Amino acid sequence: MNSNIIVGSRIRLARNLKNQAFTNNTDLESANNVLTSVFNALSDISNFNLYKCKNLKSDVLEEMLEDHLISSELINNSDISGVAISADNTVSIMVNEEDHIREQCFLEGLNLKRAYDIISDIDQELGASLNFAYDDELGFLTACPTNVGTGLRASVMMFLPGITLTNNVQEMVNAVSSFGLCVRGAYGEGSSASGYLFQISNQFSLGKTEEEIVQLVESTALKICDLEIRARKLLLDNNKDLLTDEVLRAYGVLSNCYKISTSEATELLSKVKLGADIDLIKLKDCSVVSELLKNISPTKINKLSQKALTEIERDKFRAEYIGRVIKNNRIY
Amino acid sequence: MLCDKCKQNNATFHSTVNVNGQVTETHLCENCAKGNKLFSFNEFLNPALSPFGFFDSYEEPTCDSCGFTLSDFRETGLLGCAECYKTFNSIIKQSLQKIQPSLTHVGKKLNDQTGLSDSEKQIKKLEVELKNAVNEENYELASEIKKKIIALKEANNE
Repeated sequence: MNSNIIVGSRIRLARNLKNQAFTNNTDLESANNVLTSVFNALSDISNFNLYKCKNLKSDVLEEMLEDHLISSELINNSDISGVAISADNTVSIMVNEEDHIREQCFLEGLNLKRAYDIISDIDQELGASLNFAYDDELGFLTACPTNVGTGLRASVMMFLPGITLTNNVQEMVNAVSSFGLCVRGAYGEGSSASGYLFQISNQFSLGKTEEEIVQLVESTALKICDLEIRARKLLLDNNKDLLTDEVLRAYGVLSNCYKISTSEATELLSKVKLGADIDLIKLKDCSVVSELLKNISPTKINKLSQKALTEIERDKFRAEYIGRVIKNNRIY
Repeated sequence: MLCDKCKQNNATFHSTVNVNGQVTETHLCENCAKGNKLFSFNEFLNPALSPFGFFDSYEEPTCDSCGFTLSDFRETGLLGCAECYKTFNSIIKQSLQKIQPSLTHVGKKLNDQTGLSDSEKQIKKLEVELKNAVNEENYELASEIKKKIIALKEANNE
C-alpha cells in the first residue's frame, strides 16, 4: 500500500565553490568558470551526460523540468547554467542554479536513505576535486541562509486523495509544521497541489545531522501514510456509493471524451488511480494510470505526437491517447 | 494657518524636523501633504535611504569581498558570496534562530568529504585545474600544473 501512497523520494544537496560570488551576484566570466570547473569534476564521475542549458531547445528544457531533473530557476539562468544527468535519469546535478551546485537524486517509493547514500557518494567525489564554501560553525555555505549547514533537503512525494477528500489537508499541514517540516505542491516551492500530490520536506538544514533529517522526513511520511489509509477507509465506510460513482464517471469521461485539458485529465486520472487503489474499479495494470499521469503535459503530448500541436489539437490528441490506453485496461 | 506650499488651503499637517540642530517647521494642506511626502516608512526602516541628517554618518554594511549590501540581502533574501556570512553575521544569525533548531552545524564536515590524504586531494584539485587550463588553451599554466602533480605523486611514492 505504501508504494501507492508514497510516490517518490528526493534528496538535494546545495553546495557552492569557495572564493566565487554566488550565482545571483556573479558575472558571465566567473559563472562560466564555475560551470567549467564543475563539469570537469563531473566528467571524472562516470555515467553523466553533461548539458549546457543555452545549447538545449526550450521544449527539451521544459521536459526536463516536468521530469523534475531541473528547476525553473536553472532555466531562468540558461545563459550560464548547466546540468549533468545520470544515464538512468535518477541523478541530476544542476550548475549555477540558486547555488553553484545542486546535487539531487530521485527514487521511486519511500527510498530517502538510499537516495541520500547515492548523493553523498557523488558529493564526496566532487568534494575531492572542488573547494566547497564551508564554515566550521555554520557548515556548507549557501546563497540562501535557509539552506546553510547540511545544504540538505529531503522530500517525499505523496498521493493523498483520502486526506484531501476528508478535508484534512490543513490539519496535516499544521501537524507536519510542528515537526519542522513543510508541505508543498508537487513541483516544489510556490506550486499548488494538483492530482492530490503533495511534497513533504524538511524546513531546517542546520543543527541536525543529515541522517537525523532523513529519518525525520521518512518517519513523518510513514505516519501520514497511516493517516491516508485511515482516511480512505473512512471514505469507503461512509461514502462508498458516492465515491464509486465519482471514480466510474471519471473513467467514463476519460474513455470517451473527444478533447481534454491537462488539468482535467490529471484530476480524473487521479480519481481513477484512487479507485484502483481501493478496488472500486478493477484494472489489468494499475501502473498505466500513474504512467499516463506523467505523460499528458503539453510538452509530453507534443513529443508523443511528434508535432508542434495547437492547444485544441493537443487536447484532442490527449483524449484519444488516454482513451486508447485506459479502455483496454478495465476488467469487468 | 495657510498651507506653506499652495498658500490657498488651510494647513492641517504640521511637522518639525531637526537636522543637525537646525529646526525646520512645515505646514501643509492635505493635498500638498500627499504629494510632498515628508518621509516614508521605508526610509524610516532603512536608515541608508533616509534624508534626515542624524543618519548622515550611517554606513550601510557592505561585503568587502563581493560588494553585496545589507539592502541587497533584505531585498532578495540571498547572499552575494561566502564572505557575506561574516559581514552580515549578526543579522543572519537572528533570522536563522527563527527557523533552525540550532546555529551550529553538526552534519557532515568538509574534511569528511573524502578518505583521501591531503596530498591526494591536492592532486585531484590540480587535475581539475589542469583540465581547465587545457580547455582555455593556457598551455604554459597547464605545464606548470603538470609539474606540480608529478612532484606530488613522486613525494607520495617515496
